[in-house]
Amino acid sequence: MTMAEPASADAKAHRSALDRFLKEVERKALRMAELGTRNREDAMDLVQEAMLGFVRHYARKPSDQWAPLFYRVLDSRLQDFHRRQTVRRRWRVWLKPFADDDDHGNDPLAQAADAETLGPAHQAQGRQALGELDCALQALPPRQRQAFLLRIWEGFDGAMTAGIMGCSEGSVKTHLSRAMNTLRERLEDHR
Amino acid sequence: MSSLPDTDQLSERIRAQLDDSLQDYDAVTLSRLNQARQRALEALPHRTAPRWQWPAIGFAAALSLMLVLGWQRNPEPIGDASDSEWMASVLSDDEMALLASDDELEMFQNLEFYAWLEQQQDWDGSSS
Repeated sequence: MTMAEPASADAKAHRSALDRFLKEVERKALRMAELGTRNREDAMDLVQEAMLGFVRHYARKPSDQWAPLFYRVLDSRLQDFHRRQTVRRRWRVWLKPFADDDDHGNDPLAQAADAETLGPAHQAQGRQALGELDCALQALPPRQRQAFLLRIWEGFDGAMTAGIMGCSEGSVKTHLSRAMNTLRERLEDHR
Repeated sequence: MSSLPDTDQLSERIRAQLDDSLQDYDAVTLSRLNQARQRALEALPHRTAPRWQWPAIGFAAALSLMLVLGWQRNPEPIGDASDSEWMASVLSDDEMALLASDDELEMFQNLEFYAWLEQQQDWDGSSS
């Protein structure tokens, strides 16, 4: 028997274990990303990037460390997304006076509503479609939402959540407590 | 008005709703997730150096670093080679990839978390 055979068998088993792991987390990851981005396409991109980053850098780590490492990568991608959005919003505000001077009156793209600045009626429709829970979770500040989803939904303990989010355990407790208070108020109103 | 649910009841309710919502994805979305997964698996590194090679790799990295530092103190071009050609000749493929890739740098930024994770595991192992 050659040495290549067991190595190849190991590689196959490893790939299949990774496939199972990613399959287990992919829907939750997509849901988390959707809540963070409010957009399925962006969410899908983030999940793809997180899977790639995880496989490239951490696939050789012990399998019991995969979940926190995967969510660490996803959380990092989500933070990048929010940073980019913040910068984009600042530029949009800054450029608005100049844009108003241009003749965009007939440009349908210029007239199109931004997903984040839809009117109250449209927002109300969206709320109904998305469901109360989605709206309540989406309304949370990003770090509060992540703390809530990782602690309560994914079930990581405080220390692990802090490690994933790159903050202190105390910060996780604060984020979680605020998230719970907001969710209790909002969801109780709809009961 | 009904009474406020306590934190545990509320958490339980939200957790159940979120779990249920995972079943709502349509076939197209699930297929795209499957494709994303397969693409990620294609990026699986094909080989890693056996543990016995690590000292040699460490030595090579240290030697490369010394060469780079030496070059910085005396930054005259060697022969007719441009800086990038010289760098490529001095650094290994892995090190060149590290310099060229944001992903790799991000991985190094996450090393602290990984070290912490291993510490946690060691602690869990020794305490059980």
